[in-house]
Amino acid sequence: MTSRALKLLGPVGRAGAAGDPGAGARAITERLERARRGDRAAFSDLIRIHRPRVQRVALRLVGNHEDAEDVAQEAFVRAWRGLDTFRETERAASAFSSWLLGITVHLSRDLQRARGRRPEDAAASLLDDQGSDQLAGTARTPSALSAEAETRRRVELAIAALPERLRVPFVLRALEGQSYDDIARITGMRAATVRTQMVQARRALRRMLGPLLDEEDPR
Amino acid sequence: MRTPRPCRAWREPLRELVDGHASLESVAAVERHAENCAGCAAELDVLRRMRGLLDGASEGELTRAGEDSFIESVFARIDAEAAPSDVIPTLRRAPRRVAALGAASLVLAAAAALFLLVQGDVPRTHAPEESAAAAPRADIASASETAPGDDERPGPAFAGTDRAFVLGDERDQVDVERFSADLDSAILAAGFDAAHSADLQPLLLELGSPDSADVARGARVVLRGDGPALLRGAAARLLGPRADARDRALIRGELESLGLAAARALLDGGERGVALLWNASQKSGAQGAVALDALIAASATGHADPLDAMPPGTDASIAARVAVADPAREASDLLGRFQATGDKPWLDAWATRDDAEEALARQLGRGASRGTARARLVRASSVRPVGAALPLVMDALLDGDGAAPDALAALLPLGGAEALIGATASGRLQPDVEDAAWRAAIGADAGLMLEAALQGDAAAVLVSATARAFEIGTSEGDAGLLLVRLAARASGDRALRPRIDALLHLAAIGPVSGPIAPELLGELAPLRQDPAPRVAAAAWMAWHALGGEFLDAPSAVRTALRRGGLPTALHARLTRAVGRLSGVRRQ
Repeated sequence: MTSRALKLLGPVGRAGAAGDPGAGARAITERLERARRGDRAAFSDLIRIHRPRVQRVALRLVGNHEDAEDVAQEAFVRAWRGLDTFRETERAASAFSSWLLGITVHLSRDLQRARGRRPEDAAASLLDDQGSDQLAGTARTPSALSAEAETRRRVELAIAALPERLRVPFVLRALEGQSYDDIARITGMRAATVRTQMVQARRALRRMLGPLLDEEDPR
Repeated sequence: MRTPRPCRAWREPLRELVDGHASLESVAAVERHAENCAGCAAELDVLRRMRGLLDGASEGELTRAGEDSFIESVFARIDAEAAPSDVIPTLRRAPRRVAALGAASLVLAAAAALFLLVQGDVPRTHAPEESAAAAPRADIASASETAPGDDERPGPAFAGTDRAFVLGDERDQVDVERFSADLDSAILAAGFDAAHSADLQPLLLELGSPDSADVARGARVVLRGDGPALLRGAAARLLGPRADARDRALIRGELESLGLAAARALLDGGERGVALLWNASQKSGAQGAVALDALIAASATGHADPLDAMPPGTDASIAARVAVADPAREASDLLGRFQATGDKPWLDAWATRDDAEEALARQLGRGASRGTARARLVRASSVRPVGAALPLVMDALLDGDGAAPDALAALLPLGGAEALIGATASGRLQPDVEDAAWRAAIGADAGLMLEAALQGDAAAVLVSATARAFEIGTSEGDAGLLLVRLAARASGDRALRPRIDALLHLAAIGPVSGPIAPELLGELAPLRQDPAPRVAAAAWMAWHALGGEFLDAPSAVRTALRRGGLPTALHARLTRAVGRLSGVRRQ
C-alpha cells in the first residue's frame, strides 16, 4: 500500500502501517461496506486509493493517457454498479483490488481491440505523453536525460510489443506486483497458464531487450 | 563459448527476481549459489539488468488529472447511466469503421493468418480459458459488466462486420506463447526483412483463425488492390495454401512486385504452385531471379523439396542449383539424376558433395553396367575418381569408350597407371584409344607414369611402356622435357640411378626436337660427366639425339656415336667407352 493510500485512510491507515498489518485492509473493507450502502464518500476514498494502479495498468494496455483515464473512470463506474455482486468477505481489500484490475484489463483489452490500435503506436503515444513531464521534473544533464529517455523508450516499446495475452500478465506481475493467483483471478485463467505466459513474456522481452542488457548495468 | 545454462532448481528463484517478487532471503540464496555456479551467475547478472531496466521504465509517474475532477467524472457517468434518457454508452466508442477501411481489416486478417501459416505446423492448443476468451464478442458495455472470474467473460472485439466477414465469428486464439518465442525469425522466414518485423508483430499477434473461406476472398481483394507491397505480400502468403489456378496465376503475376512473399506463396500452394515457380525461374529478369531465389531458399531450408514438383524440360543447370542448395540432399540422389539424364549440371552438382565418392562406390557396387549407364559412370569417375571404378573404366577403355582415357587419367594414383601399362603391354587396346589414354595419362601426371613404368617387374613391359609414354609425351611438347628433368633431379640419389639409366637411354630413342631441345641439352650436360658409365653413356646418347654438338667429346665416345646402331647396342658401346675413360682418369 502506498503512502498516499495510507494518508487517505487517515489515522487507521497510518496505525496499520506502523503496527497493525491488517488495519489498512480493514479500512478498505469498511469503506467497501459503506460504498455498498451507497456512500459516495467511501467510494471516493476507494477511487483515490486504487486509481493510480488502475490507471497505470490501463495505460500499459491501451497506450495513451486519454484512453487510460477513460478506462479507469469506466472501471470505477462498473465497480460501483457491481458492488452488490462483490461478495468477498475474507481478504476483501485484496479481492476488491483484483476485481477492479480485472475490470480494467477487460475494458482496456476491449477498447484496444475495438480501435484496432497497434501496441507500438500506443507505446509511442505513451512516450510522447510521458517524455516532457518527466524531463521537466529532473535536473540531470541533457545527454544523461537523452540516454535515459532512449532506454526507457526502448523498454516501453518492448513491453508494448508483447502480444496482448503476454503483456497483461507481465504488466500485472512484473510491474504491478500481483501474485500468480491474483492474476489468475483477474484474467480468468489458471495460475499454471499465467506462469507459462510469464515464462514466454520474460523470454520475449529478454530477446527484445538483448542489446540493452548488454550495454546497461542498472546496479 | 556458450554461456552455461542456469540450474533447473534455481530457475524459479531467478524468475522471481526478474519479476520483482524475490524476497531478500531468496536473493541471498541465489547469490550464494551463483558464487559457485557459472550458469546461474550469468543468468543472475542478466536478470538483474533486466529488472533494472523495468524499474527504470516504471519510474515515470503518470500524468494525473485532478483527483477531484476524476471522481466527479466517475459519478457523473454513474448518474448519467442511471438517468432514464441515457442511451449513450459511458465508455467512448471507437470510431466505427466504414467500408473504405474494409481493406485494412482484410489486411489485418491476412497478416494474422499469414502468421499462422508462417508458423507452419505449430499446434493450436486451447486452454479452457483461451476458448472462453475467444468467444464472440458482445459490445463493450455488456462485456465489461461481468466481473472477471465469472462464467461470462468478455471476448475479443470486432470493430465492425468487415472483420467478421473476413474472420467469421468463430475464431481460434493464436498460440502466441509458442509464436512469440521465435517471432522475428518467423517473420523473416515469411520473406520480410527485419525492418518490417516491428510493423508486423502486433498485427500478427492480435488476430485469429485463417480457417474461414472468407479469408481467401479477403486476401484476393488485398492482393489486387493498391496497398503497400508489404501487406499485399502478406495477402499473397495467406492465399497461397488455398489458391486455385486463377489465384496462382494472380500471385505469379506479382512475383516481380512482391518478390519473395509471392514466391513463398506459390511454394505454399503445393505442387502446382511450385511448378509455376519452376516455370518462372526459367525466365530472365527479376521474375526469374526471384523464383530461383525462392526455390533455392526452399531447398536450403527444407521447406519442401521443390524438385518433387519440377516440370519436365526444366533447365538442368537451374534445377541443379536448387538441388545443391539443400544441404541434406545426398550425393547419390544427384548422381542418380545425372545417370538418368546425362545432364552435366547434375554431374557437377554431385561432384560438389563431400560424399560423392561414397555414392559412386555404392553405385558401382550394385553390379556391372553397360552402355549409356556405364558411360555416365565413367564420366563421373573422371570427375571424382574412386578406386572401385578402375575395372569399369578399363572395360570401357578396352571397348573403345571415348570417355575412358580421361577417366583413367584421373585414376592414375589409384592403380590406373599400372593398369594402362599392363593393357598396353598386352596389346589389347585399340591404337587410337591407346594413344588417347597415354596422352591423357602423360598430360595428367607424366612422373607418375614413369614411376609406374620403371617399377615394372617385367623388363619387356618396362621398355615398351616407357618408350610409348615418351614417344607420345614428346609429341605433346613438354612431356619429354619433364621426363628428362625428372631424371636430372634424381641424379643425386644413388638409389635412383638405374631408373635414370633407363630414362636417358629411352630419351635417346625418342624423336625429341624443336624448341624444347636446348633446354633438354642443358639438363643433360652435367649428366655426361656422371661417374656411373651407364648414366653418362645414356646422357651422351640423348645429347646426340637432341642434336647436341659432340666434337669436343672424348674420341671413344665420338667414335661410338658416329657408328650408331640399335639403341641397346649403342648404349653398351658407349658404356664401355665411358668406363674406359673413367678408368684412364682414375689411373
